[in-house]
Amino acid sequence: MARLLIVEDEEAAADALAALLELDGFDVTRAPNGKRAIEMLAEVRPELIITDYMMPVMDGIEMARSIRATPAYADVPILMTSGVSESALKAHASLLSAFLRKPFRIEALLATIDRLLLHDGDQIRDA
Amino acid sequence: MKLQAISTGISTLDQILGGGLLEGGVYIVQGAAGSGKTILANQIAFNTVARGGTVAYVTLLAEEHARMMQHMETFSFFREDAIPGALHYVSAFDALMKEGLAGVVKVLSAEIRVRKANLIVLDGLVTAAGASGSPQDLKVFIGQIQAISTLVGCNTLLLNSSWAPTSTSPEQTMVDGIVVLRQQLVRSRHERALEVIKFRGASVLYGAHTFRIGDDGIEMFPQLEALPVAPLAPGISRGRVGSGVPGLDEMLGGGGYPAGSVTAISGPEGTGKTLLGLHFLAAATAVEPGLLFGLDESGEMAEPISAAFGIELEGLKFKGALRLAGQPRFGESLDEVGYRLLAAVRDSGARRVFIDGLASVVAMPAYEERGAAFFAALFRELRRLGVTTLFSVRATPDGTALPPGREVAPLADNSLRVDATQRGANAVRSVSISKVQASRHDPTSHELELTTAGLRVGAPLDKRHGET
Repeated sequence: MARLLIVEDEEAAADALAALLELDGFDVTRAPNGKRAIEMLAEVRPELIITDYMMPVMDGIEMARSIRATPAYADVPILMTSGVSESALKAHASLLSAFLRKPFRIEALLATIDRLLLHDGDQIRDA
Repeated sequence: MKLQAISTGISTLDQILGGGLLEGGVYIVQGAAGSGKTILANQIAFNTVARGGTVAYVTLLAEEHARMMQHMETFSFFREDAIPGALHYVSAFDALMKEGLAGVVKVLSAEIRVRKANLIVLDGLVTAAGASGSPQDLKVFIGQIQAISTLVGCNTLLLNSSWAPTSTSPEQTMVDGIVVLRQQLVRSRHERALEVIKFRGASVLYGAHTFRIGDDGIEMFPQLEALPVAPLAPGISRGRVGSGVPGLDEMLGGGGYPAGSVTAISGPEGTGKTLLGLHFLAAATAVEPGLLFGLDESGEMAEPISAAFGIELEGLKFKGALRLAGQPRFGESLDEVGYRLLAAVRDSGARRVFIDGLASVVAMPAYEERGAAFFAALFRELRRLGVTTLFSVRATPDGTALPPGREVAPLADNSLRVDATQRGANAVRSVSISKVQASRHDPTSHELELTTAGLRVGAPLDKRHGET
């Protein structure tokens, strides 16, 4: 099943998301912030990154910008989740593959994951 | 995204919660052993199933579910065919012992996701708190439950048998709402009450709301005076409603009691208060039905009394124009009396209501604190329903209806007093009126004669005495 990297600083939220996605058969790895996620890319080789926006050390937008600038991972779909509205992130839309406003339902998340993996799932380049 | 209120299936509890539990919310139901938590949670669970939902009832208790289910079978909400498909009882005790709180989260996640549960009940929050290594562990555990509930959109009830609420504990500060169940002895009466001490996202009715556990489970009685004021019921007559006592309608200003008003009849024992009420009911018709709501044994005595004094009630009962209802004296709360009365009025469609024996309500513990506000709300609702109401209240011969501060009569629109004075060998009954809503009345005391056809108003007392 697809490898997902969840980047989320709230431990409980990350635990819950991971627990539910694992029940659906996904291979889930977690990172507490954008910097740590970038460090883990080579090891995890995620097919999709689900990231929070506001996090300590490095936020989701900074992380996305860094990933898009790294040829090996530039095409990995990035799904951003945040309590802020999509319009607030409009300036960064080109960095993101999809957006879900928190709180969201698991069905909406699964549908978005399916869509992103279907369209973009084979775009990971060799590191 | 506006959160949807999910009904608990207990309409009066929904009323207290401002509509129900908010979608995806986590709520603590707290109370000591025997306070009714398990019954409430099971009742909400079966109500959820009855609406087509699915529920997982997860326990952290070492005991088996079988015993609890045996107890639940005694309630009318229990449906055997709901188990285990729509309502699944599962123990997470082993998972807790082997993997700690993380194991419980796994069980909950699986129950929610696999069974697509709309409601999760986690029975044994105290056990979870005891198993957590630190307050931080418990905080993470509650956070995980919250995150799962939000992601899936299901409601979660956490049952906590801790006696005293500690508002600073992590679970209390994190959850969306806290409902506390209490039971106590109040002057030898056993009283159960529910109080919402925290609820996010809705306008709830704060304060203690009494409830009863009966065959149908929990029956709530929200404080009457806390309810929002509803508009007047349509098509209410603003005329007069006959008293049924010859001569009394004229004393009242012509035509009888103002329709939709509340009248206090006070007087010592044996002076004719109940008879005035029974006359009023005897004038009921199919389009203007009557209801006798007896708060003491007078409800049961209405028929023998009316038969003995020539007041015809039997035919009205037969035609469905009159209903006799009552309220057992022991164990009930102020609000339960109010709800039973209003339910009887709504069910019967009564337009003439006589409440007999109000003194027993005044003796209730809560009366001292809330009596005036309670009766003001009750009378307001009766007026709103277009009901013309009479109530009797026993008074001492010196004229004091009730102890100071406990008077109900001033809350009424109209006030009648009946008395009995000894004249030689005979007791002479009299009736006088001190006020009638927005109209003139005869302020003179009249004799109240007892005939073979019941009561009738006689001559003014002064004139009568002048003649003798």
